Amino acid sequence: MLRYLYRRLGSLAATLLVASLVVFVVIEVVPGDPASYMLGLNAQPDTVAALRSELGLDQSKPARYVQWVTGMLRGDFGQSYTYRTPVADMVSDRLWISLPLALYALVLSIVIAFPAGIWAASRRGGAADTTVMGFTQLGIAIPNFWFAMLLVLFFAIKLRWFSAGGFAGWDEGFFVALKSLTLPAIALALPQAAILTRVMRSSLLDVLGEDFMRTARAKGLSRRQALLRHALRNAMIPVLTIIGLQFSFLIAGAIIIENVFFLPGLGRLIFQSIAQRDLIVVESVVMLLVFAVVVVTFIVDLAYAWVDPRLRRRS
Amino acid sequence: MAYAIGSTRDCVVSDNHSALLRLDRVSLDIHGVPILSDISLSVAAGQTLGIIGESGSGKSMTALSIMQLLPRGSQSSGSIVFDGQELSELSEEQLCDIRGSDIGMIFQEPMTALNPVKTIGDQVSESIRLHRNVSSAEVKQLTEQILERVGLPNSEYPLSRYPHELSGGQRQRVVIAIAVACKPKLLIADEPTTALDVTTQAGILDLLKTLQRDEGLALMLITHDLAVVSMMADDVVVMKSGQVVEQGSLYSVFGNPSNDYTKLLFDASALTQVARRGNKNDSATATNKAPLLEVRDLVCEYRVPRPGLLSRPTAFRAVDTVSFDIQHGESVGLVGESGCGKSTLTRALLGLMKLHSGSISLNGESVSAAQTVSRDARRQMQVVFQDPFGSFNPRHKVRRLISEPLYLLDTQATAQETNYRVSETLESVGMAASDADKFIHEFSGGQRQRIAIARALIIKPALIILDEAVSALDVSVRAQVLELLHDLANREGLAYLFISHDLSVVQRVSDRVLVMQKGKIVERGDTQTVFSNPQHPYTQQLISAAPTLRIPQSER
Amino acid sequence: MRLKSIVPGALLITIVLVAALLSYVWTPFDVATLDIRNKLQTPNQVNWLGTDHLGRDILSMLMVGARTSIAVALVAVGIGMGVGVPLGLIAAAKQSGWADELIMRGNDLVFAFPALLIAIMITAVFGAGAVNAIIAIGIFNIPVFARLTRGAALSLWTREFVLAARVAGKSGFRISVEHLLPNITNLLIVQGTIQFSLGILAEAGLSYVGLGAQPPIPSWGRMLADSQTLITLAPHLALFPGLAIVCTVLGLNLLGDGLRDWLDPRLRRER
Repeated sequence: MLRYLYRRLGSLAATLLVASLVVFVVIEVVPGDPASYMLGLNAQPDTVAALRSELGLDQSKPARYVQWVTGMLRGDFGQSYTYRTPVADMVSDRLWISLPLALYALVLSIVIAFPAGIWAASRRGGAADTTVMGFTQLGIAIPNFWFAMLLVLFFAIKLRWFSAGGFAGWDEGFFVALKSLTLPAIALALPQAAILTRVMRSSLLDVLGEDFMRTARAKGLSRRQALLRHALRNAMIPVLTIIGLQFSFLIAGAIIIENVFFLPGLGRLIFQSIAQRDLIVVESVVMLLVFAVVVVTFIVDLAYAWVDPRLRRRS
Repeated sequence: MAYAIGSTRDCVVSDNHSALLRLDRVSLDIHGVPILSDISLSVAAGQTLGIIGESGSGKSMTALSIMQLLPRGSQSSGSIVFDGQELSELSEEQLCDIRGSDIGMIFQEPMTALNPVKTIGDQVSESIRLHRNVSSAEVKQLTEQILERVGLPNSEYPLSRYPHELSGGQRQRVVIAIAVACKPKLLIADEPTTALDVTTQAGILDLLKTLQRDEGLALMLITHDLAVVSMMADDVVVMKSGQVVEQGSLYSVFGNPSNDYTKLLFDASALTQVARRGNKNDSATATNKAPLLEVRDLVCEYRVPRPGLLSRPTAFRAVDTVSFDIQHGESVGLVGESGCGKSTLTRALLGLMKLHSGSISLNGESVSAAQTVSRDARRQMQVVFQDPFGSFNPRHKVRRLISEPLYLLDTQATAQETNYRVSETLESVGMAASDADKFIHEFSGGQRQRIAIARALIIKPALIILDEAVSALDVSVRAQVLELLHDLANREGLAYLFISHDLSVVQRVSDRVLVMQKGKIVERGDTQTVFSNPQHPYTQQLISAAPTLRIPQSER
Repeated sequence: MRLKSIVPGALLITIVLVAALLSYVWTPFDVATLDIRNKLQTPNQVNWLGTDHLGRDILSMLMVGARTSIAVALVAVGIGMGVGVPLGLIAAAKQSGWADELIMRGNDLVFAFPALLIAIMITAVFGAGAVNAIIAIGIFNIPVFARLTRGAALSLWTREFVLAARVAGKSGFRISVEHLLPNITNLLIVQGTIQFSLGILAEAGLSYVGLGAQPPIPSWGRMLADSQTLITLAPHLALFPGLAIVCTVLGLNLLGDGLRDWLDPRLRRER
């Protein structure tokens, strides 16, 4: 068990390291000098040079890479080129919108998909199965941002149940804040729920055909008992994989959805920064998101070991 | 006709004992395809009924009909009376009460019959908890008792073990524990030992016998193996294509089979008991002293993932200093149980894996010195694999499949030459030349194995390695394929290396035998000598564990 | 039974393809001409699907937009297959070598970078454009195909017919081409349709946030982005491009499902 964990931890750390290198190298390719860009065309050479050394741009590239990575480890993401404020401050507020949004959507998608998938699998070939599968086909085909626009049109503009956009802020109370994230989360969750439902169903159907299910039935378990006690946990293995992957889609999706709902999250920040060529912010936000995805992958790996004892093999 | 026999024999069976289970004219269709027709049989309390049949005979479906666990789309008729109850009239709930409590069932594949994510304790105790109203402390105690009973003492195999931590035989014991945990009146065992090695099989059969005697349960033993039935059963049913073709007491069926198909089965199986053939290799060895194949101190290793970050990488030695010769025209058998290294040895001989050390030479020329085996060596040595379904590319026609080894010719064969060779070879294995234009899925298992032999023959090799080449075939088909191999050897002067876990097959076809255990050859010698007077304890164990077909001489 | 899904799937895709191809020679109106006086028309007899805020005909824009979507998704699938399949075959043939390591690590890496993040980075560096979308989605497709190919090829390598080919002296390359590739074509076709449909969705998302095709090239995602501020005034602007995306993706998914069932010999035998 421990060995399995160490191995996964090691591979995740390696992923993060390579990812940081990729991000750094790609951003370094950018032509032009942030310092002269920030100061405008008429800046004096010595002012530019001063700014360059202030930003640490005069050091060698490897040194700057090391500085950037070690800085991030300490929570220091550098200074925004545009606003001259610490990137960490700009990011931290927004993180508390994007991350909860993605998690909220993940929870919603699981809450919808598990019962739907189990229901469809247990009534395979029946009307319920056909209906659920039809909906999932549709769900997968709908782009989440378009679905978000339809939600706004219907629930915010027509019915006025929700506000059409903006974020109340966590200070307003948990439920108020949650409410302003609800429509975006639904928009994000629905296509993912459709995928997850299909995976859940087909994985369950695979397991239902296994020999040990026959053993379970021969033991005297009813179809339903056998499904719940023996099939479900085995079926979770591919489902977990998909949940892990989905988080990365949800993070990306959240960035897009924030635009529909005018949520001041990381997505807005990143597009703003691209427009202003504030590359250090782009760099840091991308790294942060990659970090979030990697951590979730690790949690999924832990869940694997919990579900499948074969992975827990003594250390 | 089948039914006529069934009904008259039926009387014989039921006269002697009161029936615990009685099937009367049971028929079954799955999605409109007839699977069983008019099956009538009965099992007496405390007795063993052996059901014999080859693949597709409907023997497993008969068992599932009794359990009322048929696949979707099944349509059945007829009556199944168990312990005075008509099973087809019971509600699903009542059936659940009977399954696992009054009727237990064991399956063929122990590797997949257990839920991989639950402990063996959980899986055994579940059936007790389901059918017995007892406290959890008692459940635990009962579970430990029953596992102990099937030969898995708690000290060595605690309840917290997972299936993947057990061997195939041990898993089958857990499956048996689940089936007998609630002391059923009837135990249905569907090919319970087919997937197991002989020595393991003997243990499981012993266990079933003991359980039956001690608990007084009726046993319905479904198998393709006549020898197993002859050791275990009181009464016998022979099935073919969904029908009962013969039934009666073991004595009457085995002593004096009346049905043609039963006779055929006996001939095919009984032949295996006759030690085979003359000494046709004498002339070959006399004229050509140099061995065809010479294996010297062969060692093959697999790298095992290192157990810890700092520990040294270890290697698993699958083949451990093996040496042997094969003479021209000689047939050598290599026997061993799963995991003994025989598959690795095959691969090494065929040049499909790196040797760790040692040498292989063919006709006095080393084939292992270079990294890649020369074309010349490859031309001399061909192979027939076990699985008649997996050994062909499903997308190619037979012509292309069997002409593949012609790639080894130094000058590529012309289309005309290829066609000629294909036709000739197909005919030599008893197929038609016109079969060359068919796809492989159009053939049965036995035919495919003939085509596989044709593929090996087309290049006219001196040695054919037969890697469990008949293990997947039904006995009647197996006999035909062995016959073919025998003829070919005589006609073409071929040498065989016959690799198998099945002693009876090896005994029948080989002049000499090598017995392999844990990567080493532990015994070697003339086939008859080894089988009649085994020296090594492992060989002795193997031979005594192999079930032998005993034809009862008189009614017990 | 599920074969039925091939027909509607193929039908939807054909419509989209025909519309896209037709747009090269004919569209109801020219998408480059602006007609501000005729702006924000609801669907009518002249402009079947109405006009946008600049008076351009929606139907014509959808037809031209289909071109962008299909081109981006198709090239991205091509990149994924072109790089991924050989990588997967090599990894399986060599069994644990550099290719194997590359696929597994590359896989971890790419899954840590959703396509959107890749696109964001590329755009940050090179500016926005359809090519960025292609590269971003294409990169994401590579490990998908590499993994799929590797897995399928690995299991085929242990099959006896491949061993037989090795005994016949054939090289790893020859076996890969002669025996493996034909046996994984079906898988690749099915995965190809799936990635194609994912590509359409991703392209729409990228152009919606301005990282894809740039104006004046019409694209479905861009059209949705433009419609957003006018959603109360002219909801039909948001409706039609969305429906176009849904129909295309739905068609591809149905086609993929149907193809999978049709190409799977196991299912075919049951039929």
